Amino acid sequence: MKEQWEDYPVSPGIFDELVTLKGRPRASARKLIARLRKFSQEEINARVAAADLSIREMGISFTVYSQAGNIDRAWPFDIIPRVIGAQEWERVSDGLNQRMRALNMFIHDVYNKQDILDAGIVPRKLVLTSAGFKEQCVGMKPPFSTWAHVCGTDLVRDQDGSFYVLEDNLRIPSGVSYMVENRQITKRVLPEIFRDYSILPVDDYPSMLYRTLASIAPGRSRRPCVVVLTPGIYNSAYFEHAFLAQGMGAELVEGIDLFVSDDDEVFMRTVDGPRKVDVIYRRVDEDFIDPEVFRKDSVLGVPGLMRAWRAGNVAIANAPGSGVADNKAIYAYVPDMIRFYLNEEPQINNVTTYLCSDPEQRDYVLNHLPDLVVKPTDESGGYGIMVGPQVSSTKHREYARLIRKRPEKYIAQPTLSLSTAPTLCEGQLAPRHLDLRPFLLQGKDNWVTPGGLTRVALKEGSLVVNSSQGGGSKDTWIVE
Amino acid sequence: MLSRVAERLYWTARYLERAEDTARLVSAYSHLIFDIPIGVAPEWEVLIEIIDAEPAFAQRYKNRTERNVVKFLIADGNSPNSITHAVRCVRENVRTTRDTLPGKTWELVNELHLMVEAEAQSAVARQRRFEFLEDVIARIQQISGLIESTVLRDQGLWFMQLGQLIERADMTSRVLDVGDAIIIERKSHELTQVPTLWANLLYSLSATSAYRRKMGPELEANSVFNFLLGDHQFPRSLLFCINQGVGLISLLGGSPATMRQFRSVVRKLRNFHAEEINLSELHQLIDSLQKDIASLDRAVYNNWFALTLK
Repeated sequence: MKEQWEDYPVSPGIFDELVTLKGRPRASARKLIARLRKFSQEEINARVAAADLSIREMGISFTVYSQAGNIDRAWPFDIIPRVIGAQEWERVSDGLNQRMRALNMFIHDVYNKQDILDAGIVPRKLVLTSAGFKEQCVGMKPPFSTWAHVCGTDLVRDQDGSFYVLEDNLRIPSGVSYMVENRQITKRVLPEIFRDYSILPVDDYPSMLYRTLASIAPGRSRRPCVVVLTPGIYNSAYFEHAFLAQGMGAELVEGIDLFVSDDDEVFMRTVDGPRKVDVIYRRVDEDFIDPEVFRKDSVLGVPGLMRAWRAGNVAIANAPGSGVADNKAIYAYVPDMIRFYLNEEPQINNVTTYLCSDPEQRDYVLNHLPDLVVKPTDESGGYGIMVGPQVSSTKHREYARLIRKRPEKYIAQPTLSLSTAPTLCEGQLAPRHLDLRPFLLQGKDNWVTPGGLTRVALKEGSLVVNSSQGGGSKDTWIVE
Repeated sequence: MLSRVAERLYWTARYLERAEDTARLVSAYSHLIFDIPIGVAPEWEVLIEIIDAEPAFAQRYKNRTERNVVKFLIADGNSPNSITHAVRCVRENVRTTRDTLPGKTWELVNELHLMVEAEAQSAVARQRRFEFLEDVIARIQQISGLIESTVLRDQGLWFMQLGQLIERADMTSRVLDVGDAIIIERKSHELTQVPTLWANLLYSLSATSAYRRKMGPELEANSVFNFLLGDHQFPRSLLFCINQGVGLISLLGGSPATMRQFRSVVRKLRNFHAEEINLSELHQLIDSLQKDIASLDRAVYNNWFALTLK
């Protein structure tokens, strides 16, 4: 692959994860590239085939709702890892912990004293009218004042090479199982490279998750009963739910397996009769968890679950109501939250964000649509996004109409030149854009995965990395 | 263990056993037919009768030819009686309980599924058939071996063992049913081929050498029935299966009613002696045993899987 590496195109204005502007390997990637250069084309094709085979055999599957008849689809994986130095990662990881602490303080504040709203730092109306704000959670005081126990934070690198937070996913972030499986595949297909590096392991995530969940259990049981609540096999992340349950030695339950007793305790239906549940790691959207309180038509939930939670008899992670901080408009205020609650400066920056609800910022957005990325505030998974430079003026006009009609539903951000990394596309090395989703845990302590899930936009020039939109993934190495 | 998960494990084991038994059945019957001169040989439709699938078969195929029958049993994914279907069900059940089984189980089941999906069609023709069926059997035995040697000795395994025993008992009773059906049908004819028939029925249950050690080299109807229904040492005999079932029901803490049902079937089998009854009674007895097995399945369902606990 020597020639391919020599011909690998780098462009000014785009940061490449492995190669400098001069075409040289970055320090942390030097040994990796030296190895890969020695591979012949046949050799590399054989490794790619081996990876495909192990994916098929391991049954990593990924579901897209629209493909109802064909529920399994192999998850596209690129064998060339992304490498990040440990020192740089330590700074990122500190910044992520800082952010997670502030977000939890914000949620707790919103449902209790509302200091930040009284101080006028985050607009009261924006918070109280957002879909994520749940009246039913007001006054709750969960253990350690922590509401969001698991967060998937999307990071991107701009042309200056520094990381920015693009999104905080506090509802039910997914993808962590792919992070773990990707490492297992890389170990199988590029075993010799592991001899050259000391790579931080990622496979202890399920035990860290268990520790976090156990720390918030009510009562003093030494081994609290933790369950993973899944919407079922047709959910796109079912594979992951099973993976995590297995990794924690916990039961994987569906709504029908649970019931709430008259004295507000949660039980699961086992072959030995009812068994009490202490902690529910919820992978069901909060609107569906309790038909007594939220959506009446939900068949995925457990009637009475909110009663049990409010009575303090069961812990739910993430706590109902956490979604109030997972909103693209609220996102713009996270740096202010860090200053307000922690009295610190943010260690990782936000991407500049224009709130269409603000008249001045809205005018700017409407005048610059071809240069901006417009996002709906209450959507996730890449749905409803307009990437200005990549669509026609008809689309710009359509979004201008949408924004004028419901300004509070939209935000806009400058089009970032997302970083790239060398990726094998039909055997040829080519730069592809990517982001990074580390997973953050908070219970009694805070913890960040070493690295995270790197998602790649496999289409040339594309900036949309979501797996639901045809993205793939790479293994991510934090190297000493 | 969740009731829902227990039920899926039970069915995982049933479908695994069904896929394996169907592979053995088709393989044994193919051998039988190859051994018997044309014109004397029983028809392929006997296989459809064994599994009680006449209506389902008639809906899908016009002629009861070898090709159609074998396709129906091996490769027809829409037929609930095929190996392909059973393996898909195994995969779906394991997919939805994979958190309770060793990780490797899922990989092996997935590989089995990929192999069956890719090869089943071409195995309908005679020349590839045995290779395919042997591969299916070997892979399933590998999965059973993995489960046997790595799964915790707790409820999960017990429900799987229960599912396997009930399916196995069911299949043995069906194979015996072919035996008596053919005998009744051909009573008027000279049955020179009868030893071959019994040899193949035993072979289809992997019972040949065990039978010889226990009953001697002679193959005749009464000994075969006594062996496959009432032997207490052969793992595919009805008595052995249901007796093991009694042990599992007790480990699982089954209700007295469930226990009574299992015990009454055991008594019936212990009291069976082929010499004492005639052929037509034999046929009725096997029919009633098949109904008993179905009622044991229902008892298990009511005892543990029905979601009425509250």
